Amino acid sequence: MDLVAIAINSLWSGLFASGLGALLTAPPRYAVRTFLCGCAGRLARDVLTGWGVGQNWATTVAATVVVLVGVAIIRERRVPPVVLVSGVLPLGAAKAMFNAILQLMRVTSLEGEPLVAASIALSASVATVFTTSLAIAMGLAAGISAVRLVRREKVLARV
Amino acid sequence: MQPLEWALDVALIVMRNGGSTAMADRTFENVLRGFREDRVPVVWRLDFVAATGVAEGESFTVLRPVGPIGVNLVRASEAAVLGERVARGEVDTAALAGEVERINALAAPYNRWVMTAAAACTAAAFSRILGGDWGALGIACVAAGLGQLVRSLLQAMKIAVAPVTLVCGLLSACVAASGLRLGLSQTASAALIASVVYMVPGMPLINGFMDIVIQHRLLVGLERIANAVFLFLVLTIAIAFAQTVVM
Repeated sequence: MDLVAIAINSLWSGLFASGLGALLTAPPRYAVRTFLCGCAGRLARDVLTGWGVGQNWATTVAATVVVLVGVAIIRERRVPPVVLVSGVLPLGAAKAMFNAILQLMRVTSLEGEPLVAASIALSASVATVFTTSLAIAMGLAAGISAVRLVRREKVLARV
Repeated sequence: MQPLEWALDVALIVMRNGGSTAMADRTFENVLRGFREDRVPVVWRLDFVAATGVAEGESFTVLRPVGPIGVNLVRASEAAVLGERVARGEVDTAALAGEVERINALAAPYNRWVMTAAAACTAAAFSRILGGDWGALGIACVAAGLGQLVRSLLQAMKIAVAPVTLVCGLLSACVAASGLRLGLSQTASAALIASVVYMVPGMPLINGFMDIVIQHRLLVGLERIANAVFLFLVLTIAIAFAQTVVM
């Protein structure tokens, strides 16, 4: 596992999340928090895949980590959705989506062996997009449910 | 009938500004709770929202068109907060209309140049995430910056999302392809994809999956995903065009 490469990639992901947060109109006070969420998500995914965890499980856990980091660093009753969305977008499958559509455009004009190869590449890209997006949604849901559960228990403990 | 209409008006701010369906639904429920109304059946779609209530023994349906969907999560968050305040009884009926107007008038927190810098920064970072070299970083940075600048000008003219995405995608991809043709980078796919990443509809895609998987709202989820796939298609056409014509 190349820790330096993982750390550098995490920093780029943080920067990506922060820029995207601004494009999605996140208020300036959330810029650093969005950066940290983006960083943490990518770091978690790269470390887990480095340990041999499958890409989709690693993405699910990373999305959960984004929620937990968001809750930990934002001392408000509710974490703004823009922070969570920007934090998980570096985990997304944008490249696979572009590849899928490019392959889709190609398969209509191919025949024989190239058609078979392009069809396989197309199914692989579509599957990647589907499973990655699903993994992110599941991870976010798991994180949000965990936070709700803990907060409810805290309220009950106070009563 | 009025509390239902007020609840829909506030919830629609969330939908129109890129908020999730769950957030819109929670806001709708909060406003109704503030007026001591029971939860009513509501159908969420990207083209319209319909809610059914009962008054004096007769049922009625209120239908509101959603209209063009943009991204201003400040407004969406403010609408959600307004819903919570109504639920706690902090906002009365007289103040609610004014609050809705105030939220609808909220501007994005950044000016054109900050958005341009953010797009450039996002593209630069994404080119590195995709394994691009420093040349790809420079190309993506300039291409996305120029594209976002034109995008904000077109958005100010109230042009629809798809044509804006196509024009800006073509501009950014052509600028990136020109840089690649000049030999500034050896990682073509990273530079080309990163140059248009500032317009990638990642948020509708994730919201769509969340709607289907977690909220079990199949229709609105599929609408969001189809919308995102369409914008991806537009961006891919822009990249393919630039690759064919410029490179």
